[in-house]
Amino acid sequence: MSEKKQRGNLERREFIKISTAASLGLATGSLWMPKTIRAATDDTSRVVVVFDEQASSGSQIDPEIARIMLDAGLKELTETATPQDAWLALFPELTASMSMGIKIACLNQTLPTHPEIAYPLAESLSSTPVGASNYPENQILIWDREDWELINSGYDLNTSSAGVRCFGTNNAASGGYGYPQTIYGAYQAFSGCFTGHSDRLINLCSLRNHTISGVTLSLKNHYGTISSPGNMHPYDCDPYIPALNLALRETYGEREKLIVCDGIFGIHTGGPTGPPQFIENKIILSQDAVALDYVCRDIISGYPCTTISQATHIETSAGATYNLGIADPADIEIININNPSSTGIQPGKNGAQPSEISLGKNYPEPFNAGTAIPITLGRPGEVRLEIYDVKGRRIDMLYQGTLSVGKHAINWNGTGTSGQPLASGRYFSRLHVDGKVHSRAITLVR
Amino acid sequence: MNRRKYIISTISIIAAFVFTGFFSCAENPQNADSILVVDLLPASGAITGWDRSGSPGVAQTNDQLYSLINGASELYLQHGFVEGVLQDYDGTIGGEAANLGLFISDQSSPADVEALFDETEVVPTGLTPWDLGDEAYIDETLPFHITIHVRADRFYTRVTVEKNNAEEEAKSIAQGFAQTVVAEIQ
Repeated sequence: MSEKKQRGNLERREFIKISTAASLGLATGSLWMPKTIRAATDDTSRVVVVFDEQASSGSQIDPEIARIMLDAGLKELTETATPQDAWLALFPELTASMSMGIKIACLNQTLPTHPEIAYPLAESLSSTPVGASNYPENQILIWDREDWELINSGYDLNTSSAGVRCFGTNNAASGGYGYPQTIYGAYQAFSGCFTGHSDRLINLCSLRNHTISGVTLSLKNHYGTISSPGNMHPYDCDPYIPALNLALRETYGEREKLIVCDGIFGIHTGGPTGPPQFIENKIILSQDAVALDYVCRDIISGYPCTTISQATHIETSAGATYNLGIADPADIEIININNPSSTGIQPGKNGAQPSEISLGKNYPEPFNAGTAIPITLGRPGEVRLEIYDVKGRRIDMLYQGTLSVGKHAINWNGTGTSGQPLASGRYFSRLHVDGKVHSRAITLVR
Repeated sequence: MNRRKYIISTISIIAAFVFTGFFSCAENPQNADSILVVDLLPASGAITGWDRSGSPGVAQTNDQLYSLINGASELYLQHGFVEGVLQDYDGTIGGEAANLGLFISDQSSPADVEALFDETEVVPTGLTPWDLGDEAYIDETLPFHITIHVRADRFYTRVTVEKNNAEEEAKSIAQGFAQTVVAEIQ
């Protein structure tokens, strides 16, 4: 029996336990708390969405607020107490001799990955102790295709042996492009910035739609890693984008351990070029590029955007052929952090313990008659669990009150506030706790 | 005699063609068929206080256009793209330094550029119409920029300028650039 199959059976058994006990709990008017429940993090991906209304003022981005947002997101993503612990959780093998690339997206200089995000990210990393000293900032390279694109996007070229380095693949310091290989029929050589200066990689993209591929986020950001991106655009770039990402992994290993989207501003029409069209004030983080792109695509789809349906490369990336990540909303745990700059979440200062708060995948999923929503709390707290529809309307309030430490399950029978049965479709469970909002998709099938 | 009449008539006709052609050229030193997009770029100082920043980026092939405007190039290629140019200008808006981007493309024919104009990924819907060229719109919905889209003859022109909290001034500057380009085309 395959591991996946075994897991499936285990989940079913657990669901029976949960749903039976949940029913008993509801019947007796108390909230059931299972003694054992498997963590809902297997086969799921976490995406942290950090919003801060002070992130920008007009077109100016505050790098100090960005640093607070990044550190808050890193801690939540890794469930660690400090940003430094977060970096070591993301890159446990990190040493001072290891290079770290930050692949930005600056082909559109009116909406690039902003320096006000990239440099604070580098600063956070270089504050992390590795051995006797902190991680050397000169081991960090911020890069994209061309020097002039970096300059026009507000970056300072630096090929010296001091400070955070920054240059393009066309700079002699990069080593240029390597020998080409075939990727889905297209000859492509990889950037020396990736092959020679990025033992590990942070993919730092921006938030834009794309006339051809629907959206251009972290997966497509690697079009700036190859020599001839122009010939990878047929068929809405699908499966060129997943094929490229797979080729990078197969050729160079899993160097990319952190994916970040600079979502302070965004473009919903006419991208990838053009000026910003909306202000989002968000930074999105994940270890799963596919899940991050899925969530960011959802953000863009909240604006008038006619190219969303073309972004099929995200689902293809998650499919069996490429298996690059998760694009099933039921398996993506979204954690929202709001205004960390004004709620006292300071990098490395609050000494907070790992949050250990999770909103698990509901069982069964999809469901018809009823489903149990697992919640895990690392410390007691006031919680609110609600159901929303895809238009953002609150459909039902399932629980509001204090929950103790441990694992809980709350049942939902697919009805609205007044008990009316709801139509088939996608809904969202939203758990409010400690000023954060955790969200998951739920599918109701009538 | 008839032969002389014939010769005089022929000479007169030729002279008339030459004469007409001469004055036609004098009125329109740049025949629309021979215009290169780089020739349509306003010179430094043509709009007071605005100078070119760096060299223009010129695209005459698919790859060059991709390098210039990335994935957005596909729609231009679908609608008769011949060549395009991208030029930045530096000036001031609201008393602060500002950047203006000017993109002009030759789309082969007025019909092609009209079809390009109908693409909502190039010219979004809901913009403010403006009386310039064959069709023009001003995008006043952007948070930090003003953008103007114009089609005139077979050329598409887009002007994008930072607002710097001085929207009317920014619009006026953008309009000045658009008018200068269209005047050159016509």
